[in-house]
Order: sequence, then C-alpha cells, then structure tokens
Amino acid sequence: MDDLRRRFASLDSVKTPDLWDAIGTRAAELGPVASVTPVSGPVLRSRRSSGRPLLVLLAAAAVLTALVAGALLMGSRPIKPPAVVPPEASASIQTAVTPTSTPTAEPTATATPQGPVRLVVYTVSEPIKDCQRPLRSLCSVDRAWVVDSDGTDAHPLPQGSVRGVLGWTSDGSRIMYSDNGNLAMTDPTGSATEIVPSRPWCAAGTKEADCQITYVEGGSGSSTVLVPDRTLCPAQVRDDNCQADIEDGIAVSPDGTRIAYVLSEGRELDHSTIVTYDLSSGRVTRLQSTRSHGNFQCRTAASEGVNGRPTWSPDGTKLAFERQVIGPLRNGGCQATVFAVDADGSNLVQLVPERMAAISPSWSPDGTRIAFHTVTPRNGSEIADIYTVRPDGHDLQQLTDDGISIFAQWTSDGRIVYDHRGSNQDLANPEVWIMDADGGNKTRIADLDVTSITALGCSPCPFTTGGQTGLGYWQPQP
Amino acid sequence: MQVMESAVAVIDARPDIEGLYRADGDRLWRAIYAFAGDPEIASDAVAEAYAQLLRRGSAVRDPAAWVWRTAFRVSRGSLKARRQDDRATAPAAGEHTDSYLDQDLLDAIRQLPDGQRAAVVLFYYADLPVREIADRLGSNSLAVRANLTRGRRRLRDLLGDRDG
Repeated sequence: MDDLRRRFASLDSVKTPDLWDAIGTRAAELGPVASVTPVSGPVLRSRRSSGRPLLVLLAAAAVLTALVAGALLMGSRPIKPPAVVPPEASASIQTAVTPTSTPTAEPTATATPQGPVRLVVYTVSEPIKDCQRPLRSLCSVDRAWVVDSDGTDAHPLPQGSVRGVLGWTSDGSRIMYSDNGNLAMTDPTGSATEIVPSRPWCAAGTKEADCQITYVEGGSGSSTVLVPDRTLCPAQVRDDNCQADIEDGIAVSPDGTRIAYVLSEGRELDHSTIVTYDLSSGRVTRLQSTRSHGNFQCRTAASEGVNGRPTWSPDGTKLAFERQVIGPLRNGGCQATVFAVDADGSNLVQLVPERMAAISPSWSPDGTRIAFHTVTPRNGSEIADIYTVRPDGHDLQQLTDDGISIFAQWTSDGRIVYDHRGSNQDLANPEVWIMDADGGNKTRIADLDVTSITALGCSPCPFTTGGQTGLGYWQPQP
Repeated sequence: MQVMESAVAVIDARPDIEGLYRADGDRLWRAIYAFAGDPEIASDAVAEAYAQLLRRGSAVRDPAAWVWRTAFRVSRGSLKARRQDDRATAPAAGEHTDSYLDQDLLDAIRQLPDGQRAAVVLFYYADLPVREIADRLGSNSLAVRANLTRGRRRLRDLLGDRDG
C-alpha cells in the first residue's frame, strides 16, 4: 500500500496554474450573494422532527394543463421581439425565418399567443465580451430575464448570477432559482429576494453532510417539487447505499400526484432503478424491471447501464426513460437506448433495436408516440437524428436524416420542436426547428422569441433572444 | 408551516481566503485533475469553487472543506455534461503530462467509477482520513469506506499486485 501512496505522490510534479486573478474576476461577475430575508413561503418540514418523509411540494399539479390553451396558431400576426434584449447579446432579434442547411424549410414567422399575458422567465448564458481568459466557464455568466408572454417589457433580474431557473411557485408570485446549491426565490421584479437556508431543519450538532435537501424541477417546467434527497430512498435501504439521482431528471406525473426519478443504490450506488414517489403518502415504489447495473463505464452486457430522464405519458399510466453507457459501440462511444414501462413496472419494452444508440424520449400529447434522438458515433462526432416509435416498440419512423437534429419536444398541437445544430455545429447555440409529427414541413424558426413559443404550448421551451438560446418557464395561470 | 430562519450570507472577501488558496489551491487542483483527468475541468472547478467561497465569505463555517466539496461537485457536473454532450472531444487522461507523473496510475484511476475515484484520490493523494473525505464529498464514512475498499482493489487489479 505504501507503493500506491508513493505513486500518488507523483501528482505533486504536475504543474498548476495560478488562478487567483481569475477567481477574483469570476467572483466579481457572480456578484454579491443576495441579501437574505427569512422565507416563510414553502412548507418545509423536518423529517427528523416530523417522523414522516420530508416533502415540500410547490405547485406539483399547477400548470400542466395551463399551457395547452395556447395551441399553436400560425399565420395571423408577426412575431414581435421583446422590447429589451440582454445588453451583451451579440445580435438583435430577427423576426424573419431563414431556412438553412439540410432541412427543407418554408419560411414561417407568425404566431398568435393565446390566453392572457403571462410572465416568462428564462435564463441565458451571456458571453463576456472580449473575454481573453483561457477558462471557458469564466467567459460567460448565467443571467435570468423576465418578459411578458406577448414579448414586451423584458427586464433582467438584478441578481448578479442565476445558476438555473427552477420555475414558479404555484401562485405565480415568485420565481425559484438555484444559487449555487441553495434554493432562492424572488418576485418578478427581482426586488424581493429570499434564499432558503439549505439545511434549516438540521438539528444542532448534525453534520451538514448528513442533512441535505435537494430541489428539483418538475416535468411541466412550472411545477417545482422540493424534496430532501434521502426521503426518496426506500425505507429499508440504508442511506449510505442509496442516492436519488435527480440530476438525471425528475418528472411530475400529469395529475401532480407522483414524481418519477432514478434511484442509485447498492454498496457502490451502481444499481440504477426507475422509482416513483407518491407525493401525498410518501410511498416509494421501485420499478424492479428497470433495475440495471452500471457505473459510467462502457460495459459489455446490454442489460447494464445507467437510467435517466424518466418522463410520464400524458395519461400517467406509463413512463419512458433512457439508459446510457450500456456497452461499447463498434466505432467508439457507448451504447444507449430508450425504454417504455407501465407505471407499476410491468411491460418493460425496449423501444429501439440494439444497433441504435438513442436518448431523450418525449411523449406526444396524445400518448401514441415517443420521440427520441440518436447519438451514433462517427468520425469523432455523433450522428444525431430524430425518430418516433409507438410505446409498444413498433412502427419506428425516422423523421430527420441530416445527422444534426436533437432533443425533440412536442407542441400541444402534436408537432415537434427540436434543436438543429446547423451548419456551424455549434452545440451551445443550436438553431430551433419545428416539423410535423411525420417529419414533414421542417421549418427553422429563426430567433424563436417568446411570443411564438408561447403559442407553441410547451414549457420549458427553447427560444432565442438577442442571439442567445435559453429555456423559458411560463408563469402559472390563475 | 415552519418559518425559515435566515441564513447569513454576506460578501466578505476575507484576505485569508487568498491565503487558503495559496496554501491549498495547488493540492486541490491536482486532486481534481486526478479525479477528472482534464486540466481544464480542474481549473474551472477550482476557480468556480473559490469564487463562490469569496461570495459567501464568513457564511461558510469551514472554508477548506467547503471549497473542496464544491470543487468536486462542480467537476462531477462538468464530467457528466461532457459525457452527455461532448464525448467525442473528451481529452484522454494524462494529456497534461509531466515527465515525473505516473501515467499508468492516472490511466488506472480513470477507469474507476466516480465515487471510487474521488475516494482514492482524497485518501492517497490528499492524505485525508475517511471521515474528512466524507465531509469533503458530502458523503458519509461508510460509503467512503466502501468506495475506498473497492477502488483500492480495482487499482490493484489494474496496476498489479505490488500496489495492493
């Protein structure tokens, strides 16, 4: 064992950069931690004190139906750009549609938002002008903006940095966002900011590491669930051997009564299972048929891998999810696939053939099809195309063949919005395209702005403003 | 409804944070580098962690442990993002080579699962006891011990019995 320690000591020979100046600059960019006021909004109860599983449910059922009202209606009104764009944005908002690249695009640039004007909060990663620093993460800052759903009155939240918008509280009065692991809330003007202490329920003397919460974003974008991570572990499993891997996705059921997520368990936390959690009873149900073994290394057995991104069918009876890192592909990379399973764990179906590497399943509004995209390695890159398939694994249909189409999301009228890497292969700023469910009428929506996305009826939705692509979250309707 | 007590979170860029960085920053960077196998991820993680520490100032009770925990969390997130979005361009471990660096060791470390990799790096390189490793990873002693046992066994297999 001394030899192992000696070999580790060779790391001392590695030259290290002096980061202090970069650290100071980054701290200035992040801005001060917001002034803190006590939070009395969400119900946060202690597992230690209550004896029940901790649960904070913020608007779990609030919004899933709210966005459906804005069914897509194209053709009656020009898209109107937000009145204000991020000051560091590199380009002004364009309203014209510019077909580019492989897909056959018909210019389309009009949409009519339905329903009353709501607020939309979105985050964009704003590049820092003339950034010369070699560290990529130091050349951008995440910032949240709020805009009316008719595209007017855009304004940034004054917080120096918002690391990720989580959605709205159920009453629509506050925006929830992440501040380096803490839950923070603010009103839409950004003038009343609160930070929820991350461990307010920890008993005196309890180590922070043993007393944590995690907040997560619900499937509808505006539904946010706050749960302590250990609560999500089955009661009979020791905390040491259980981890709710919610960073890989958590989904609120359409009726708002359950959430689904990935549970990592076992002595090495290397067994992966799709799990549902009843928000009212606190009951944790493993879907045993989904249990797999994986540890982020490519393995050889097709049954192994790491589960992720569970998503509910519209009627709440089924789940679709992805499984990555299954085994090595012939030309590099790792295999991946998508599954559908009944909500009770029965009828597990692998939706794509073994030869395909597929991720990111998404249900159609009527629940009859599941869209996903491929991630097939080729020549140092990945071939990415969008397919749909029935939940029983039949009738596989390829919708794109350009090799650069990813992350399909359905609109309320049954079309598909997706990211298109475009000719520049810029993963950070993909183009946004829309197509029919059968792959027809592929159209680039140039600089997709908030008004057109409001009409599409999905949330969160990608859209672009000021040359920056972000995700938008719609304020719940009263 | 339980009313939250406010957390004290104020800017307090204490000069001793720079002292901490000068004393401990290189060690943290090398640990992250061994963990992630990528100098850019190491620099990003260390810079982000210390920048966040500067923002929080006196609100952090144990800055040394906090900054390690944060840096490892940031680097884990970077690794996950790279696995999902940029696998084709992921650099091979040891690109940032040095003539004295034990490349076989780095290659072997890279084959461990995340939890095992973090545990063995912190145990063998940072020379931290199990309880301290648990604190710095936001884990607990039992899980760290399990990861350490398995990581050590796996390294022995990969490097040869003389290392076991």
